[in-house]
Amino acid sequence: MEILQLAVFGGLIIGVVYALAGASMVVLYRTSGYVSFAQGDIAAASLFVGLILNNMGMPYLVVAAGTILTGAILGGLIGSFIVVPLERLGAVTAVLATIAVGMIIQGGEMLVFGAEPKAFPSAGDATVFTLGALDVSVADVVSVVTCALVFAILGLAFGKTSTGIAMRAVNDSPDAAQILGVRAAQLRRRSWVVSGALAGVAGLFIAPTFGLTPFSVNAFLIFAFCAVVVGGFESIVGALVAGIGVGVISNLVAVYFDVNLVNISVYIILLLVLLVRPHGLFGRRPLERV
Amino acid sequence: MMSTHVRRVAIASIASVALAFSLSACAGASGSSDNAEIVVGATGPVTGPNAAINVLLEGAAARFDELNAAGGINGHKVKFVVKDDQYNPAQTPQQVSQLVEDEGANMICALVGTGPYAAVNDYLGSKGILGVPASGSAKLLNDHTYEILAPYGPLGARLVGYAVDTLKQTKIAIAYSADDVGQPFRDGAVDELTRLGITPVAEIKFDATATDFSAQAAQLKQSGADFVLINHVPTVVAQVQNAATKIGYTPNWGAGFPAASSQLVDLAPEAAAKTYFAYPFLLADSSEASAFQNAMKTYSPNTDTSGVYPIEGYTMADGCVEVLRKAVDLAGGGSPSKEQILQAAAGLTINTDYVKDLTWTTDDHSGQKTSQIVAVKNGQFVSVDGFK
Repeated sequence: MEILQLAVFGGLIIGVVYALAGASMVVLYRTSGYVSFAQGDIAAASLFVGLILNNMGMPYLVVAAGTILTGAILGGLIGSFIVVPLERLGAVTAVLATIAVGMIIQGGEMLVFGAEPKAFPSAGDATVFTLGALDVSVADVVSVVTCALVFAILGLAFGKTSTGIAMRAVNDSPDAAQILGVRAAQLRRRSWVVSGALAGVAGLFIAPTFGLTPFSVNAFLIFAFCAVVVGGFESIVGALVAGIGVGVISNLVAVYFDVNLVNISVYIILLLVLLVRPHGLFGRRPLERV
Repeated sequence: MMSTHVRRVAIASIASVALAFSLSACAGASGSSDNAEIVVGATGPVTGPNAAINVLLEGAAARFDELNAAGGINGHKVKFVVKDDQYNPAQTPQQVSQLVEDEGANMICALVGTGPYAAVNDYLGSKGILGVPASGSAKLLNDHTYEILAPYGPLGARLVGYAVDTLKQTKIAIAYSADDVGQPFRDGAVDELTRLGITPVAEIKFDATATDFSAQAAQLKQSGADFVLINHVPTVVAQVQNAATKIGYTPNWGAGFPAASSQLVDLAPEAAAKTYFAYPFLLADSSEASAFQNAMKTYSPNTDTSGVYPIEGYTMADGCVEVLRKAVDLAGGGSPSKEQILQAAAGLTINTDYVKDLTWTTDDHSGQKTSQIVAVKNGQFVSVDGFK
């Protein structure tokens, strides 16, 4: 029973990280209709700024705020000056641009910081409470609470605010949105700001455990991407549920079957979902008027 | 018409020139050319995600530079050529073929990584080139491949011996990756445990490329082990250790030398303080390693020598220098051919300050079997049990 508790809890914590990384992709997809492959690199760059603040002796809250702010600014700059202007040439061009931007960021980080992993502070390692076999730390509580807040805010924003609804509109029906006076480019730039900030948030929970290198966050994108596909590209709730699901399932497979089956099992789930519900478990089937 | 005398002189001159050319060609084939340099090649992650390991080749280069500054081997200097394969076995073949065919490398020394070397093993064999990779994997060994680095099996056994005999801990678990890094280490540990009549309380497999190790940490905790063996690079070991610490599991750890670096101390400080390393090299800051320290200061002053890689590279190059010394002897003092270098390795015994009591036999081309146990005290690596 103890190992089941530990495996599920561990899966929940890592699943939250997948969900946050997935949310950063979903926000962009909801507005622009494509996936950015630069999110991991935006997160890493933000974390390096956070590391500089940490090395200057700043408290963790300042480090975290600096990381998220850097992610927002970097995302906004990339979106405004590179990717959104290239959208006029098509989604494929925009996606390729995100790959190129990611590689450039990586190269810059390698030049400035090198490849050696660096320790990054966590929100706190002290045990807050014990639940059976589980010692729940400050960092665990912060990650779960942060995730809940982020998804609640995103859900409200996309569902209830005029900006959020407009963001959905520019992707769902660009022509109609234009007729209604919605400024698509401006909204897409804003989505890059939000997405960059979310990448920074996800990074704050990755770097303390795995060390910070120019590549450490990208390793998570594969599972985060799987979570987004399974949950549905357009669904914030889907990213949350699928992210946690991927985390828990992969841990249970590792504990009760074989660690070499973890990747296979995740990809099998991905394929099954694509075959049965290609728009994801929580995604909407696209409708066309005929 | 040419006179008979002039004709004879012309013929003699032409014959002399032809003889001189053929003699110099023969000299090239046998390797003897006055003060000709000996070209030794290596590949490694000069750039890319694993570029942090490249300090290994900087350590090796420093040893060769030190040798050259002292006049080389019988006047023959070693030209150490390094090519970048980014630790990617897909890139290694092209780089190694450039080393052999363009640079004229007659020996490969300290090529970084088991995977990259495996990708060029057959090629080097087809070219008759001696390879001494920076690897302890027994799978690489063959007629033309010899190793200096300790194989991982004896390191696992050494740690078992230390845990049982010194720490008096017999509830031992093994966390291992099912690859050439983890499997031999696990096998060596299990063999030693069997010899001692002890059954491991758990053998937990992990995937070094995973993004989460909480499952493995849970399994280790459930086993109740008070000593956990693990062998991998610092980032992977730190992730497993952090996952264990996160769930309140704090055993003693026994790790192979690849993890013995300041990276581990930075990434997993709590667990690193309870980790013992099987370390087949001199400690970089020990008095016995003064030659290494001086060489690095002189020839690679910007290299951080605090980790295991620089001294590992220096040690490897030190062993390769001994091979080349014998090869030069075989060449009668001249620059040895690749055949003579390969011949030099057979039956060679290396016993220097850095490579201790290593003998290569017909049946055993593996690296040195002795190691010391090293621990972290106040952030520094110190020896707690000498070479055995």
